[in-house]
Amino acid sequence: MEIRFSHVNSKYFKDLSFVIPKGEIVGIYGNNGDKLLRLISFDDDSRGIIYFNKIRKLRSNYYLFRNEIVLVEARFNNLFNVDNVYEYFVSYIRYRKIDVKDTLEKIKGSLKIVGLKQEILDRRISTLTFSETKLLQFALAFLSNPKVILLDEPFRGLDLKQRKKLIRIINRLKDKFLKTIVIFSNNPNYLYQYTNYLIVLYDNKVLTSGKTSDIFFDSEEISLHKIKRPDIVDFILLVKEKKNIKLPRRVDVKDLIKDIYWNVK
Amino acid sequence: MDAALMTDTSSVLVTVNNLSLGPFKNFNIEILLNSFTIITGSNKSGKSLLLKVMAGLINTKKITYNKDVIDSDKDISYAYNIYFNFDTVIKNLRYPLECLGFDDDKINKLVRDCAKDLKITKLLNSKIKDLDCYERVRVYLASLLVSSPKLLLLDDIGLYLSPLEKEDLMGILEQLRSMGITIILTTSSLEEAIYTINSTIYVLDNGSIVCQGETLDVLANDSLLNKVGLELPFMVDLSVKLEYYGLISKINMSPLGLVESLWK
Repeated sequence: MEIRFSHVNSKYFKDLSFVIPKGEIVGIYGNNGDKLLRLISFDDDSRGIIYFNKIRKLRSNYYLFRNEIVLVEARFNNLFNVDNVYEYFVSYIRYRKIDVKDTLEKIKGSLKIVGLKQEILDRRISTLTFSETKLLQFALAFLSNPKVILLDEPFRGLDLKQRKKLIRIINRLKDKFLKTIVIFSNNPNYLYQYTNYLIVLYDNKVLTSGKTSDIFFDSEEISLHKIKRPDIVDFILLVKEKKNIKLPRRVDVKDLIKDIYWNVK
Repeated sequence: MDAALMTDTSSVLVTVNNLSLGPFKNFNIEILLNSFTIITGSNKSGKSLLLKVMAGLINTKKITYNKDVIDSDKDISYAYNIYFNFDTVIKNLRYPLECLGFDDDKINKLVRDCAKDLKITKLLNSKIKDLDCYERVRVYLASLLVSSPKLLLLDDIGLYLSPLEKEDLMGILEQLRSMGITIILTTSSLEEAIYTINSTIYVLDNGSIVCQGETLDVLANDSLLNKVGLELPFMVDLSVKLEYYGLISKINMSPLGLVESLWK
């Protein structure tokens, strides 16, 4: 689903215009990016022109989009003051008014997508570890089968294995089910590794947007405002500046090492 | 490991003895007085659980504190989830001191000093809801520190911070340590570790310590850390691998220095 914002105003943003293209993993970088996610997810009020798939959002057609967008928050907050995991799932389904014929099957399916075991349903939320809570949040988000998934700092606190697993899930959702995925992070390394398209916010305005690697390597606005680049990009640009050696744009350190090896030898 | 065993008992602050709980089996650890300890590990490795034990919240029989330093619970501060009871910064900072029964002049002085240490002097009259993530972390730390605890336990306090903010936070923690506070920090990324000076790192995997020592010694074990599921910070990762291929002679964490030593 393509989302187009033109001249949108809200509590935090003024005159905001940008496009979230479909079929890409979109990154949002910069201060108040989490507030932009809230704006896209309708949690914050806004004035302006917003198009979802070329249908304009009006006050009268909210219902068309409400269930299509889901926001996975950075921190889990227990909405219902319920401690049992199964109870939480059921409360969530009733709260979001999700149309489910067989509740248990639906929950099991959702748990399977994120790779959690069924035994977790008998556990208490307060005894879950950080990564389990995070996966539980994703499982809840997939229940309503949304078209747009907004992720607020999804990789924080996850180790390499869990992060790779999550990236595999996200890529599958994008490729197979054509979901639009928007990721906010204030760590440029994650955005450079995992997103294709980037929107950079600065001073509550959209500074620039485009292909992630182009933005980090070429954008003049980024250098002008001294926005932190990913470490690997910083290094490649430093080599070019100091030694006038052009290394290829790499994402993985192992590839970079090979390039350096051939250059130094 | 020998170094820890050889130290005399007076310099040890916290001892966990023979802990068997969750993933831990006959687990022992000693935290030295006035040290900066970083506990890291993969998800589900038990780092938060260990911190809870060391904070004296669960399985209290397995843990002993140095009685000369910590004589009551008010000397221990444990941060797990950032929350505030009052809606202004100043009220949150004053509350612990009011509970201790200090007079108003003393409270004002302590609050001002603490705010200066944590660089939140300008925020004292703001409301909590207007603060951004890093400001909240500092205000929360201040509310733990005004009552001058001896032991500070922080459970992944820098989780949502950007790399620059993490560097700043670690600088603040180093400064607190120089004021005589023992700090134990758990973290899920190794980024925090490279911003500290001579801290001790413990790497946990499924309830046992797989690696321990000073920052650079631990970070040099890149294959072990990757196997556990931890990602090395970029500059460390790059220099460790370049050293392995014989392109540089020692680990260099400054990008400029590394470039100069590669292309002489």
